[in-house]
Amino acid sequence: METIDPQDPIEPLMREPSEVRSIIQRVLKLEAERLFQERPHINDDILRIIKEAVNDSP
Amino acid sequence: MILLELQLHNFRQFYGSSPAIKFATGSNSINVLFGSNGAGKTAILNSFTWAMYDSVSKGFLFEDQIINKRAVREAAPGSTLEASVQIKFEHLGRIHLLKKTVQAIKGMDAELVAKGEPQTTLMWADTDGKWKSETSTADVIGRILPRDLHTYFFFDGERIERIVQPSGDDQADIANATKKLLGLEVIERAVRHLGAAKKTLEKELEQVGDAATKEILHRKADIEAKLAKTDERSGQAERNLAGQRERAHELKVRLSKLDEVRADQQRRDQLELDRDRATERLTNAKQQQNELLSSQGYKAFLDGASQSFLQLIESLREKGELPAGIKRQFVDDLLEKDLCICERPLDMASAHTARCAVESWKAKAGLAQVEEKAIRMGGEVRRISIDQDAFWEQSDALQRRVSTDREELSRVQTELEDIHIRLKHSPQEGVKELEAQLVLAGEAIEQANQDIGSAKYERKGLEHDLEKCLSDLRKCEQSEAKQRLAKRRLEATLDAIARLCESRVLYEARFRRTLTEKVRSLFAKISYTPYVPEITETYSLRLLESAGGSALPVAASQGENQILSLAFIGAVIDVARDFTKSKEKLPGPEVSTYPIVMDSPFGSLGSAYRTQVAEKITALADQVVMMVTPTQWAGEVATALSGRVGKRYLLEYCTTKDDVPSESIEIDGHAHSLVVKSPNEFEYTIIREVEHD
Repeated sequence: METIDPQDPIEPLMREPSEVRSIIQRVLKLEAERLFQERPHINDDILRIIKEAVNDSP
Repeated sequence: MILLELQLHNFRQFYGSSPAIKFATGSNSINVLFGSNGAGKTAILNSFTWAMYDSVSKGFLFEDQIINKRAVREAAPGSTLEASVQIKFEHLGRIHLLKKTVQAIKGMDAELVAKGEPQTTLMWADTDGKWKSETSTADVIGRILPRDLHTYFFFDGERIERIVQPSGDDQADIANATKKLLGLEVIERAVRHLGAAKKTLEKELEQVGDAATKEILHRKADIEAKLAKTDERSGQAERNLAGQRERAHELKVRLSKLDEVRADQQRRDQLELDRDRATERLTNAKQQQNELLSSQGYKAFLDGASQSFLQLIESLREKGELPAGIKRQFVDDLLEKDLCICERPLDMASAHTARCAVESWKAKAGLAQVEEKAIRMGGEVRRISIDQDAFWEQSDALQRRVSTDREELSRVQTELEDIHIRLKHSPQEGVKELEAQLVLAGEAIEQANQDIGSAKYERKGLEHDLEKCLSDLRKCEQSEAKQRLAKRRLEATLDAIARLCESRVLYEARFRRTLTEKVRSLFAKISYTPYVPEITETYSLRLLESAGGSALPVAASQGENQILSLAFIGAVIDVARDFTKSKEKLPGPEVSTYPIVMDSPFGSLGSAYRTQVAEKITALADQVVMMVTPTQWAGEVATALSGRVGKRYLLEYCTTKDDVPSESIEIDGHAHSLVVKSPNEFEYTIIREVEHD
């Protein structure tokens, strides 16, 4: 049986619920794509990610 | 990123177009550029950072000295001069060509009068071999090797110790650069930008507003309570009414049993029956009157319009336009057959006049549809006129019925009043008393009726309020759904921030631990001191010495600090490379191959240290470009690296001095002069490749 290392930095990013996990993964990917920009103008895209991840649909 | 070529044109010491320096890649990927002091080793280092990051090393006087002095002096006054740096490199299998150019105009007094802004272009070769240009050069370079990180890959060995002893700003830069390379910058930015998103979500939540459901529910309960009270009051009034009617009936029965007033009471009973019937008839007539007015009242106002229409039709008739008398279709058929109704031919050739006469009838022939409508409407308009008379007759009849009923009521009322006065003033106390009680019962009945009416009116108002309340409640439920969603989003964002922070702490601890281990291992391999490097929380470095069981910071020498810095650079590259390969990879820069461009890499190190640095540090990079003096290269370094050197270049310095100092480098048994006598009055540097084995 696989044990979870409490010191694993990935563990907090992979925890349930899935909507928070989805926000984290998508935001990190977006940030990485814009990492070369000093001021990436990223806020609208992040809001969009949050709203898409947490919406009305069950 | 792998460097392929560097070509300089009139850049600093390098006059005209220098031959391209082609860098070795693959297994023998160490490139060495030999030069004496002042030959342009630092200029080579700065040519990379100037072109790629518009940055030059501290103390490198630059602004007005980019263009080669010989080129400036030789140019004619008013002519345009140009200096450029061109770098060819490969990144993720794609060849790029970066060129930075600055132009200037020479003035009359041998000085430059104007210098334009440097222009940078970046192109890449597509699979079809065609070059395509990038519009956002800084962005592309930043993606290949982030700007913050360039000090790790392009560095001046003599100043390398500032990684260990940074100024405040430098320290922050180094911390940021390290975090960026290790992927932590991504988490930091995510936390910062999610924090901004959190603020926006909070504002949105405020805008959705605090759903006032509780207040509406409270209002609803209040209305429902009032409705219940009204119904109770109404019920009470109904019971009072029934009771008082019963009482009035009893009183009347008692009165009718008294001989003196029996006749009056019986008459009164009859009159009351008549009154009720007359009232019912009156109500009925009024209702019929209302119905008549609302269904046919409009007919009273149609007189003028009906007359106008009939006159118009009559006028058309008089003109012979209505009815048409002859149909257009009939005339068309005659013309089609070329034969008139009178059997005369109507063909165009032989009977032109007759045909024209028949055709003229077409103009007189009315349109069938207009005629049909006119006939139908005419009938209806005439019927309205007849209906109008009937309406007035009905209305008058109803009005007469109303008047009759009113008169009847008035008569009955007067007679009832007379009876009441007689009974009220009856000499017999019993009668008087009964009549007085009957009046009271009548008043109570009237009051009960008023109460019932008032409760009914109040109920109507409350029902309206309740309907409004329920509508508000429905709206509120929708608003509440929005509010719930906004709250969920905010909570998810806060949770994401908290987890990223938690992860960052764990990552930082793990990175610092791994980085410290790596730096310690590298430092221990190079240095023979017992000092132990430590990486602080802000990613600055220091050396510790174990003293009496506790570790104390060491006042390290310049050489020790240089070794520490080199060990740090090597460790950062190594850890970052390992990290990008590991399954825990965070999204980050796509750097998997790293060049290191080092100017005087061994700084002021002694010979033993040079060997270690040369072996250990160069082993970590995928490609090394080093600019060295013969002294820095000779001996141990040459021995340590010789098997891995792919390309060698000389920076041959041409001096105007007569007594040329003898400075040369021996490569593969051949001596190469690094300083030669200039054939003219200018000082400059020539780049030559060392081509023998």
